[in-house]
Amino acid sequence: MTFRLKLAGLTLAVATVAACASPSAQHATQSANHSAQAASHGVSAVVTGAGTVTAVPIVAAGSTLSITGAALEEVGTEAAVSGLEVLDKGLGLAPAQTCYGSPVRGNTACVAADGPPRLR
Amino acid sequence: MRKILTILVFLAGSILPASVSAGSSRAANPVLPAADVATFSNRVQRDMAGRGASVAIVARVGRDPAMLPDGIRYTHVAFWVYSRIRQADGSTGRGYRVYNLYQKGGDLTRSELIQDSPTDFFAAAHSLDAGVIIPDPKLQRQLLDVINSPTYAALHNPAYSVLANPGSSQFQNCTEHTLDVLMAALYDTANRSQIKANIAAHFQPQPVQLNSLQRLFAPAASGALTTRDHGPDVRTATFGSIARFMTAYNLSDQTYRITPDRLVRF
Repeated sequence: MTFRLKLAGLTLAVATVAACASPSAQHATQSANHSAQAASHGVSAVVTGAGTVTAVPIVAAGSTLSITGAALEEVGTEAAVSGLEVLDKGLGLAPAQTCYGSPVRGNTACVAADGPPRLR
Repeated sequence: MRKILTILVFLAGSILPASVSAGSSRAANPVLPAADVATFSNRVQRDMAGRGASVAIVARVGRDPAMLPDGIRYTHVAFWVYSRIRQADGSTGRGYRVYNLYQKGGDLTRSELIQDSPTDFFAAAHSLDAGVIIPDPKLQRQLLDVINSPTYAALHNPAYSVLANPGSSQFQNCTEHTLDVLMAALYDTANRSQIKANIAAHFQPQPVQLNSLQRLFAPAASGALTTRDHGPDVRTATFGSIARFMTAYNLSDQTYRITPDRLVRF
């Protein structure tokens, strides 16, 4: 019994490490949008689904920025409800055999690493 | 033996479905008041803007940290990009848009790139607690170049694993995609193999202690729990491991944790 409980606890922990769960289906439908990107002269327009939101990144690193207008959430006017997601056990994943520097089972090392990262 | 196996499969199957979607299960995740989520989203946005962050790496707590393995606090990571925003109703403003890799609702073994708002980002959170890495301003500009280019989407692998090995291209999760984009910016390359080689050489992923039984039975509950892309040890990219990597190589300007009433530097 102890073994089973321990297993249950640990598998639960495993399942939660890095899951990238989206907001609820309801919430996602309301405001989360698939993005598509169109590069143009170094500044891209990021267009979101159904034309609901258009966002253009601003290059201004280092200076004080401000949050204004439509970027601010109206407190208390939008439901932030987490919904249930249906678990689909479908598998059938096609492993991607990509070379990389550190041999791991199922792959082949064939690319030499560059030096340590540094600011350019 | 057959009985034991049956019990193990049952346990995995009964427990994991509620947790594999980490943060979006109504049963396992309390719903935070909408007003609190909105207020906190605005607090994080204003804080980052005050620090001049055009691009930042932000993480949320999607599950009770007490249930997570040691050394892991955050369950979802994404880029926040300061932008000029126009809503569908024509209203405009300046603030952050969030560039996510999310599991697909109908198939948790697959993912997609989704852009949403800070409030969306925190809507599925377990608690109002964010980890923030503000990269060096030079690196922010390089990250923006990648995010604005086809490389950002090209580095996405829709084959999803909760515990994806960042040194392999077989599976990917949100944190690994963030790391891949970061490496693309650092080395000015879109070559996935080169990126993986550099990750293997210079990035130290977070070890996750699992025994062979756990690795064997977890995928029975969900394909998203596979560890097929790992060797004997399981190691995955996390917010903490990215923060340590960036600190070690002087790539970050500021790294901190923000809650509704506290701000703590890591």
